[in-house]
Parts: sequence; structure tokens; C-alpha cells
Amino acid sequence: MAELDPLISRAQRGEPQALRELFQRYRGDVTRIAFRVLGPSADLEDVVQEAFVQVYRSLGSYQGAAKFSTWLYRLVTNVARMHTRRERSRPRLDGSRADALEAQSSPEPRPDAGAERSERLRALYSHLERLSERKRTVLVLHDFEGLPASEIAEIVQAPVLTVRTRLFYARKQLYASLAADPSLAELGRELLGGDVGAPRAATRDANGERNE
Amino acid sequence: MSEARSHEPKLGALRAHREGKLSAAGRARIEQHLAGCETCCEARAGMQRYETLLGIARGAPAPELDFAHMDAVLAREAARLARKRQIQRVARPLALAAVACLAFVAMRASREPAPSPRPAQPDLRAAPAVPSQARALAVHITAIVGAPRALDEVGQPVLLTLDTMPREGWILETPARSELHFVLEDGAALLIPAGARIRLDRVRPDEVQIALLRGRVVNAVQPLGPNRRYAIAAAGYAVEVRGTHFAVEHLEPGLGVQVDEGAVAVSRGGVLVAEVRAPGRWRGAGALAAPGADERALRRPRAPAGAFETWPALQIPPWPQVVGWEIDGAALIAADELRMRVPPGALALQALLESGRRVPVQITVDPLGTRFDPRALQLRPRHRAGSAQPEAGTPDAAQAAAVIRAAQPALQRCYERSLRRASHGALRARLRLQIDARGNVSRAELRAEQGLPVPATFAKCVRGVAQRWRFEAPGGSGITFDAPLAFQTRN
Repeated sequence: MAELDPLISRAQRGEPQALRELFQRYRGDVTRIAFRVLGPSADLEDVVQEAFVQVYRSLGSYQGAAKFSTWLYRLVTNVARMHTRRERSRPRLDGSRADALEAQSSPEPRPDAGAERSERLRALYSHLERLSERKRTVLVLHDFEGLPASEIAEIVQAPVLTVRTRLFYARKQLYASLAADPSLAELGRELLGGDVGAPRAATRDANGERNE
Repeated sequence: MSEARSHEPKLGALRAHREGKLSAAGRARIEQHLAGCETCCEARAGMQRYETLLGIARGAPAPELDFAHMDAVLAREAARLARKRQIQRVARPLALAAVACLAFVAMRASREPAPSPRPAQPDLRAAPAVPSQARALAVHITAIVGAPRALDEVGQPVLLTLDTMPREGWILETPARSELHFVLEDGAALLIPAGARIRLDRVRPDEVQIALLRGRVVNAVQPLGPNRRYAIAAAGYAVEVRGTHFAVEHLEPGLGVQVDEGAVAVSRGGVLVAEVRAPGRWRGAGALAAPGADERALRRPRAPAGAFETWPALQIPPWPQVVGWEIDGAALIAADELRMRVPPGALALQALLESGRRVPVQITVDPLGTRFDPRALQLRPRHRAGSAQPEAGTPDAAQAAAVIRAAQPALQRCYERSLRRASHGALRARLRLQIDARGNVSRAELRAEQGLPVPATFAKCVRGVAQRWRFEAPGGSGITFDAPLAFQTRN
């Protein structure tokens, strides 16, 4: 078994200074992971704080068998999942209409790329929300966080084959859902000129011929 | 290859094609297939859209969070864990047995049916039959809005002023549009919002117990020593505290607890039912929703420092458009006449408007007391600079949206209540509002779109909420407009 990082050992013993350093060291990561799992959400801060509270409480269970990052990913995705479940079981006022009302009336033009990116991010996550929790988690960890299937398998505690299967079906469902969304039509139009934005695409010249 | 019209989209091949991993012949085959296959074309469109959006998502930075605040909360949690560890080290063998016993009993208790609704008198000691040796703590009122009521130990009504000092046995009540803030000699601060009724059962250095008879109370309690107890009793439960900031709400027939800092232990009939730690909400036995469904963070009652008993009083009358005040670290509603103890000299206030805007103002408080006239805020309905004049019949849509958004919590409560028995699924509705010349809502009618019926209780509740709204005065004969609303249940 690998030797534990001394900071983690001290934190496990409950040293407040070590816990604080742990927070400072990992708060960026935890925020990023929670943000990727939840999407743009007003509850991000709640979830991040709750995640660290859980880190403090359950740090004792980390033995060093897996990577600390794996343990942390698992904890954060669990906290986010619990949070989403709690929020789901309460009837909510859909605020999107009120926002749309304001957006229509705003006299100042908002052409800045930042606003457009936010809109698209919201659109993506609204489609992601239609996936089951399991499929969505795997998709986010793989495509957004770039983790390999083997590590995801450890995080979600399922066989690697299951992870790959969930990933396949998640993408399939998402493609269909995105293709059927008329508000995303302009995205398609932007792409008519070429394969813009395809990750891991091989280079192509102007004719679309593959460059060897 | 199958000639079937619809088939599973060839995702693997499409991906390979996009990534340029196919041979020339392979590419040609796919492109020929795509020319005639709508399913695969759709899949490819979806794939392209996903890849674009994914690129945006991967590049999007997480928003800035208030880590300083989190650091403070977590530091307290770490300290709490450290203390717990210390206690465990000392008392471990005994503790294990006790915890097991409690857990068993608590599980049994939670399976009991919800108590039948009846005016809940807490099943705990009431006013002490035997006077304690320790003298009672002084209770100082620090702010009053409107006209809260009090009954003294023998049931006589008492007029509450900033100089009144409530005592053990007193009942304090806040009718609508009133609010009471007070502190105990040991530094605990309490905020009684409108609609509550409490009884000061015990107010001693070693024990504070408050019976929450109705409504909610928000507490900020100094960290307690080992021999001190601070508890709120409500609906048959006792909520016991270990140095925290939390709210307890009596929700007939149950109880709600929200903890912003620290932790509370909830017990029933002397049996531990739940431990709620910050940030946490808990509800028991039939309560519909935990408190604070309308506020993400609790309004913080404030314990003024120093010899505030000698501070002068600040008075502020209610004023249209002003819904609240932030003064000297306390947040108060502005529904009625406000009186608050404040330090003499320069004071910074903030008026919170209906529209969500905050208006800062600086005043000087006279040592003998000051009355602030909100006219000085110079509030006037005005359009945002540069925005077009709204069309006749349409209020400034942004302002309308802001008013409605601010009312979301109230509308949510209407919806939650009406869902008690029936399930409605998604509901789109149109709220038709008639605004008179001064900006008051003279009529509010809720109609569902798509021809679906709107439950009568829900419509009535929404009407009641909407009729309290105020908009910028349109003048003339007023206006009518529709506000779209959507409600969803997620299962």
C-alpha cells in the first residue's frame, strides 16, 4: 500500500491546520468537478461546502489503496448526486420563463461572447439532465474531465465494461436529444463550413482531405 | 448492409469518419450512406452539436465562490470534529453502548405514525415549579418592527418597547408585518419573524429553553460550555444546540430545522431523533418543507457588542417600495414602523427595495434618538437610462420580471401546498394582472395554458400573493398584462 501523503495523514488525525491546507489545496479541483457535474447552478457553493464537510468527516476511511483523486472524485460526485436528488423531489417554480421575460426586454444589446457561451452551457446541461444519473456521471467524467474508463470504473465502483456501455448509450441519447432541439440549429449552421470544434480530429486541409 | 429505413445510427463509423480514421473507401461508403439515411444524418448533427458544446464546457471556468466564508465554516467543522474526537477518546467504551441503544430507539421512534394535528404543546418542562438557584439572564430587545405582543408571567399583556426586558415565563408574539429582535445576556441573539409565538421557559446561565408555539425563530448562539444547554422546544421535539446559527420552524403538525453553522440535536420525548449539521435542513413528522425554503442563507440575528442598553433608538416609518432594511449588521423587514437600538454617531443603512435594488444611505444618529424619513431616499419610479419608453399597457418588463422573481418563494409555497394530495406534473399558466394607476394590483387571475385546469386552492393562493405586489405607478387608468409562469414537479 502506498504511503499516504503526510498532509493527508495529518488531516486524518484531525489537525485543524492540515484540514485547512487540504481545503486550500483541493478547493479548486472540487469546485471544478462539482461545476462540471452540476452545470451552471445556484447551488454550487452549497455542494462544494458540503463536499468538504464530508471530506473532513470521512477522511478516516481513505486507506491509500486508491489514488486520493479517485477517492475525492467519488466523494464529490456522490455529494452532487445526493444534492440533485434532494432538489428533484421538491416541486420547483421553473424560473426560466421569468428570465426569458427579462432577456426579451433588456434594451442593451448583449453580443459579448461570454453571454453566448453561458447560454450554450445552459443548453448543454439542460440536455444532460435528461440522461440518467449513471450515464450522465460517466459522460461528464470521461468527456468533460478526461478521465480514462478504468479510473471512472473505480470512482463509480462498476466494471470497466459497464462504464463503456453507459458512455456509449449516454452519447447516443445525447446526440439524438441535441439533434432534435431546434434552438441549437444555429450551431449546426456554424459547422456547415467544416469540422470546427471536433476534439481529437485529425487535421484536414481545405478540401476535407485527411492530412497524413 | 441492411436496406431498412430506420436503424441504429452507426455511431462508431460516424465517429471514425469525423476523426479522419477511415480509409478513402471507408469514407466514401459512409458519405454515400449518409446521403440517404436520415437517422445517421441526425446522429451526425447531434454529434457535431455535442462536440461544439463540449468544447465550450471544457473551456468554461468554474464561477468564483466565496472561499473565505467556506473556510470559516469548515474551520468550525474541523474544531467540532476535534472536540468530538477528544470526547470519544475519553468515553469510548461507554459511548459505543449508548450510541447503539440510541440508534435502536430512534429508528423505532421514526416509524411511528405522524402525530395527529392538534395544538402542539411541547412535551417538556414548562415554567419551572422550583426556582433555580442561578438568577435569570437579562433579555434585551434590540429591534422592533410593527407591534409585537407580549404576555407576562401572569398572563397580563405588556406593551413592548426597546426598553422592555422580557422575563422567564413571558410569551412573545409577532403578528403579520411585525418582527422582534432580542439578545440574551450571555450573547445569544434571536430573531422572531412575523407569525410566530414563543414562550421563554428558562433563561438561565446554565440553561436556556424556549418553547416555539407557532412559526419560526432564528437563533445565533455563542459556543456553549459543557454545562450549558440551549434548546428550542416545538411540536413535541426539542432542538438542542451546540454553538450555532440556526432556525427552527413549527410547521403544524411537524417541525423544520435549518442549520447554517454548527449543529443541533433533535430529540423527541428525550430520544435523539436527528443530528443536523451545517449546512443542513431537516424536517420531522409531517412537516411539508424545511424552513428557509425562501432563503438560501438565514437572516442573521445580531448580538450588538458593547453596552447597547444605553444606545439611542432609531425609528423608521414604512415606505412604499421599501421591503427591508439592513442596519448595523441586522436585516429587518420594513412592513411597519421600525425601532432599533443603534450606536450614536455615523451609521450606514441600506434600504432593500421590492425591485431587488439596494439603496445605501448614511445618517447621523443623535445620542437622544433619531427618526429617519425614507423620503430622503428620493425613490421615484424611473426608467433605466437609455431604455425605451415602455409601450402603453406594458410595464417595464424587466421590473415586472424582478417583482415576480422576488415572489418565487411565495409562489413555490402555494404550489407545494396545493400538491399535498394531488400530483400535477408540469403546469404552465398565465397570470393576468390588473394594475391600478398607483401600481397596486387590483386584480390577479391565474389561467392554465393548454386548457388544463388550475386547482382552485392554488389559484387562490397565487392570487393572494400577487395582490400584495407593487409595480411602478403606470398612472392614467392603470394597465393589464400577462405574466407567464411555469411550475414543474420532478419525479
